[in-house]
Amino acid sequence: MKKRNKTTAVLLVLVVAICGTVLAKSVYVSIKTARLRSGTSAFDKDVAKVKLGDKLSVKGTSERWIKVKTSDNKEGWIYDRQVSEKKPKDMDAFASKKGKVKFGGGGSHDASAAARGLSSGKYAKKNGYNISAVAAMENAKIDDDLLNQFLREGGLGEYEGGSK
Amino acid sequence: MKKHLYITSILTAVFVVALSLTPQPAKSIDFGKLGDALKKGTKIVKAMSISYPAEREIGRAAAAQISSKFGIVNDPGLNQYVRLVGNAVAAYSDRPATEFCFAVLDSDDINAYAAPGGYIFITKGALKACKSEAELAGVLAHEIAHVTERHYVKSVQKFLIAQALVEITMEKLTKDFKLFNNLVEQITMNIITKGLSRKDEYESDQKGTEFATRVGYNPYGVRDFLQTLRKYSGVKGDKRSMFATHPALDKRVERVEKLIKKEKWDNPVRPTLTERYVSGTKFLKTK
Repeated sequence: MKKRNKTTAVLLVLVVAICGTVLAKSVYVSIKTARLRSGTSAFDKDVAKVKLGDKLSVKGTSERWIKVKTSDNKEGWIYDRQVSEKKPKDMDAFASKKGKVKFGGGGSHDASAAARGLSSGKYAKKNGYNISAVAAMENAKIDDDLLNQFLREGGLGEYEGGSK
Repeated sequence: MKKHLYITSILTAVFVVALSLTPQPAKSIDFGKLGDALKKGTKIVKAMSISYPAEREIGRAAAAQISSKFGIVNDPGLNQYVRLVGNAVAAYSDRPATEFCFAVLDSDDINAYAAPGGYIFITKGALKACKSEAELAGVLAHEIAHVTERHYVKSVQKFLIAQALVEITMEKLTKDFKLFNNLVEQITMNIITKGLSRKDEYESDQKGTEFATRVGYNPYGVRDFLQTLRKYSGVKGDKRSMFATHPALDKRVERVEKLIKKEKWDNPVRPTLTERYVSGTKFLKTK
């Protein structure tokens, strides 16, 4: 009888361990910024903002929404297309300061920011091309709030299915 | 025997409980399966490497050539609308960290271009030919996919191998302007005149459809634009348009439709946003 109790205890520990492991599944934020919501709709209250590459612990799912927990213990729901199982491509290019990248793999910085624009500027000047048009393209940024509004009005992204 | 049965029962229960508690992967994550399969094609160039900053610098020079060749449409509203659609697609692409930028080329050709590093162009002619925002999103998504899959960078692999170059860094490009110049010239020629391989175009059709669908657009945007190209492909002597450098349109349409059906991206029905497209491109009606 004692032996059976011991076996039961060991198996219970095993149950807890396995359940703990599977629940510790993680995902990465795969969009520049995303909002965690208090419920499973883009119209629910914001509870936290997360950014590209942040690792989130998965707590559960409901249709297109995933309940997650951030590293600083904030919990909320995120639209499932804003996360991926793998770390987003070229994240390393923004996080690391040296090394190189293979095609199709991650990326990294290999030179100082000062070198940027030098060769392309020289090339444009040599050939009489208009580099200022490219600079204007680069400077015309869309901020997150404007993009969010555009998505909301179109019923796109996390607003899929219509607006409230 | 009883003991074995007891342990087996408990173990079965453990796995059933564990399985039921496992959060099911989100449906969107399944989109990655396609990407994984397509990435296998990159193995042939695994011996070479190029840094992202170097890729961006080459793309910047190519973008200077493209924008100078055609000119940029000077309408802030139109460019902003294209930027919004492009940014929405790029945000849900496989390279969300890349700073994509967009501009409308002052050309009546029906075409779009991508330069390495995230420089995307669409012609005025292509915008006139599109009928909905979903179609525009499809065209931009196709071009974004050329960047995410680094097609133009890979297109110079023979040149790099011939030069015994296996590693391109910003440092190397800054020191060796002749190398930089040659790379930009080759890549720009591939972008504007030579085009990419059939395999790369198929891949961009598929990835582009996937990206646009992720954002929530109707998945038939890429297909619709291919059909638009097919409609115009009967125009004799037109060698400047997209169909001059792209593989058989019928085959591409068929492949995209097959993919959408297979992945069930057409259910539920997603918006084409036709009215918003008409409003966003109203500038073109005056031209």
